[in-house]
Amino acid sequence: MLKLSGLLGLCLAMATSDFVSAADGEYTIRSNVSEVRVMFTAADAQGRRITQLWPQDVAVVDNDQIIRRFRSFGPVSETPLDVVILVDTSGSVTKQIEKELALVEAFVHRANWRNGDQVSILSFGGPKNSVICKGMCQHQSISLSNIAIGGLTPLYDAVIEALDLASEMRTENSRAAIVVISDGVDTYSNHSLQTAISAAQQAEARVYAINSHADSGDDRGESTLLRMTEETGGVTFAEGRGTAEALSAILDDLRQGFLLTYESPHSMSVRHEIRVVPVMNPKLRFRSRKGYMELERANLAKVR
Amino acid sequence: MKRAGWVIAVVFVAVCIATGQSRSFRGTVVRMKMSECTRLHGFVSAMSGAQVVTTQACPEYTVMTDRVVYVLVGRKPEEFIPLAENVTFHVRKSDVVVVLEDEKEESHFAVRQMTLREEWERDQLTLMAERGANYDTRSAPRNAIIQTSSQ
Repeated sequence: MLKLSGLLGLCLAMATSDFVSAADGEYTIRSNVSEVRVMFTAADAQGRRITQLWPQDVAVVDNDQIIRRFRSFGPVSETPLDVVILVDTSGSVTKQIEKELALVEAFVHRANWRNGDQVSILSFGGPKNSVICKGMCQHQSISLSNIAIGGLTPLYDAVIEALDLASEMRTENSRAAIVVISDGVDTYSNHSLQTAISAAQQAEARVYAINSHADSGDDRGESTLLRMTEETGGVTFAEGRGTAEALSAILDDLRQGFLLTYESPHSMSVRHEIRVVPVMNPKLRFRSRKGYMELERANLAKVR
Repeated sequence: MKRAGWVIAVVFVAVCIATGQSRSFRGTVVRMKMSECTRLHGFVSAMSGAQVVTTQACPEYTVMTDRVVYVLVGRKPEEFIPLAENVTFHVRKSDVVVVLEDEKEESHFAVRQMTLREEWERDQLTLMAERGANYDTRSAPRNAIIQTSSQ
């Protein structure tokens, strides 16, 4: 009787799932569910970071639909990082660039990186961006003497190039982050700000910015940096706070926070706007990327 | 068809109010977005169609009960409904009121729209079909729907 019910159970399971037989007799279960990953940080009304949170404390609003049931939920502290530091070396920031580069180099070599973390440095200014070092910069000597300084500012193109670099380096569980040190004034890119933001959201990469022109009173780029960071779950730091301190705060921010996953809900739009919201305590504040695209559906629409 | 739904909803609410039942109801928030705030209107003015719209953005919640789907708009931008699966809503004069967990604060909402649940679900299906997408009612928490309570 037990054998019979076991056989029936197996038949039922095979009828409801896609099983692919492997040569050694093992089975792979394939699922067509599209899963959304959202990394977020939580703070109280005073802005103090919250380090303990449970799935029942948060919900996600995905294109107006409330998601309460998550496939996974937990802290992000153990997952490795893929950080790309983007340094603006264009004509608009030449005054302080040498100091900035020295601070970046010191940070990369002295910060408390963990096993599996990867750090790359990319400079942008003029027609061509240059990779200063790639992958494990924290263990390499960095040569800053050959960097071309001056020229126009292809900020948005540089963000996309940094995302490509991060995806090249990325491992299965790692989290990507782009740190932009710039005045935020793009003067040359082929891509738009929205394209750069969407690409970062799609890559699940947070963009952080250190505004290297915050003291000059020229705030043209500030709104650009703010938008880029807010849309991707990052933070903009004013340069007045100090580049070294800001870089440490960014690393600290990346080590905190939570990661949740859920099944993407059906929606009329391939573009999903998302927000992490509190369930019971309205004073909690959350920071996360603000959208993603359903790539499969978007590609299907293109084919049609 | 829509009008018939509205008439039934109005009669249902009127009967509930007249009999003193359903001064509160339980429901689940299934949608949430920011929309224009409304002021000086509630059940009665929502029924009459006299809506006063302001330029501020207030939270708009779609609340599903066992029979009716309410669209509630906050009286103020910071009004909040807990997103737990079962929430109790109180009907007080022209407002729908939610008492927050610590029972020290209340959130006040105006009713922007009321639809019979069956009709709301049918409308959603039609809308999705029109846009060529598959709509799955999984997002509606059918298992979590609560009976209307009477106090």
